[in-house]
Amino acid sequence: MRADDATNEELLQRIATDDPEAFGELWRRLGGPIMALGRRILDDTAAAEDVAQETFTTIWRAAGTFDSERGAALSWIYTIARNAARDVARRRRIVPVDDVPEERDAGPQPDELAALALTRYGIHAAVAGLGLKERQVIELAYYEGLSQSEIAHRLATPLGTVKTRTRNALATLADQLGTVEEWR
Amino acid sequence: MIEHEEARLQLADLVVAGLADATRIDALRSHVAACAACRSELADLELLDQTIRDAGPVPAPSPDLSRRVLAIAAGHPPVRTRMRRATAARAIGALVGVVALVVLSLRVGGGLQVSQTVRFAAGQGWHAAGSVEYGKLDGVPTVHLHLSNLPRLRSGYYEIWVARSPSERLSLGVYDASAAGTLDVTLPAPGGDEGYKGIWVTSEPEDNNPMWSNDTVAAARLA
Repeated sequence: MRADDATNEELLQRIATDDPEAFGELWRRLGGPIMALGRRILDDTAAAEDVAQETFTTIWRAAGTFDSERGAALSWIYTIARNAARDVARRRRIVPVDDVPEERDAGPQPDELAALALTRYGIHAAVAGLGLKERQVIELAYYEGLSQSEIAHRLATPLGTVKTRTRNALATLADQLGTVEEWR
Repeated sequence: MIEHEEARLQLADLVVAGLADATRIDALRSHVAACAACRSELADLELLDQTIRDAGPVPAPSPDLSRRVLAIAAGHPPVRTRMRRATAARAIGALVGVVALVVLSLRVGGGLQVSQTVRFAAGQGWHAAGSVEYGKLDGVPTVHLHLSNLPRLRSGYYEIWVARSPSERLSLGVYDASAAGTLDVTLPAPGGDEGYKGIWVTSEPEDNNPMWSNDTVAAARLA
């Protein structure tokens, strides 16, 4: 099976047998989401890069210990990334954003920030895990603000096809978000 | 009148502008007003829509970071791999390692533009000796590290770190020493303007703790 067709769980199984292609595919899918998570927790891009590198070092070393019966791959990797963020924070003497004590009613509380970080990690991972064509329409619609017609023009694709891809992508993302909510 | 299953599959049309025309949207709204299941599903879709917007685009890791991460799996197998191998495979691996070392030496000797060479100082209780070359290989900031007098560890592994200070380190990966007690690796290094002050090699236990141990095998200070 091609690595880009494999589920995250299958990629971890292959990484456990020292498969660099699977490792590269997992990095392509989750490098960005983990960078975003690290940046959200530490509010520092260089530190977020350290988080991503440490997370993937641990994934390479520990993929053999992943047990799909105990949880989803994304959840397992999220835990590794959170721990890596804590370690990087200690090393760089950064106070993680969700450790900053807040006055009551002064803003989101640490547990709310942690929940938000998890949700956004899940969404980023889900968007990054979409097929290229579906990911394109979501990114153009949401982050470049293009209408469905403008997307069709930009991609030189029939409007009906763009709409179908948008609906399919949202259905996939809805499933993923539901899965993330179950981790709480 | 729109059927329930048809409406359910097209609820996204009420969330994303431009997916359906006004007539279709009116029909969907009429159905949703009378259908609790679709109202609930629509609420989930609206939450999803807002979450995607709030999350913002997925950031793209820098090429330098990608190179460093992919180097973890490309040619620098971690010690866990070696520990699983059978004895026969270890012997074959040692032979391959010698050949690779020669190839690596030729390549590095011919390609690495060394900007500084620094000798390692052995850590307390260790007799490691060697040096580290820092420079550019094909334009990429690169570290070439050679250490000898390294015992094969019964458990755990060696880990290489670059650091701005002793309290702020970045792991470049984990390794086992060769049968001859050497460690010879070439790694893409963090950018030349990162201000890294030194390179450490530590002995790490198999404790799943990603922090460095205090057991320094060797250290070198970069200018």
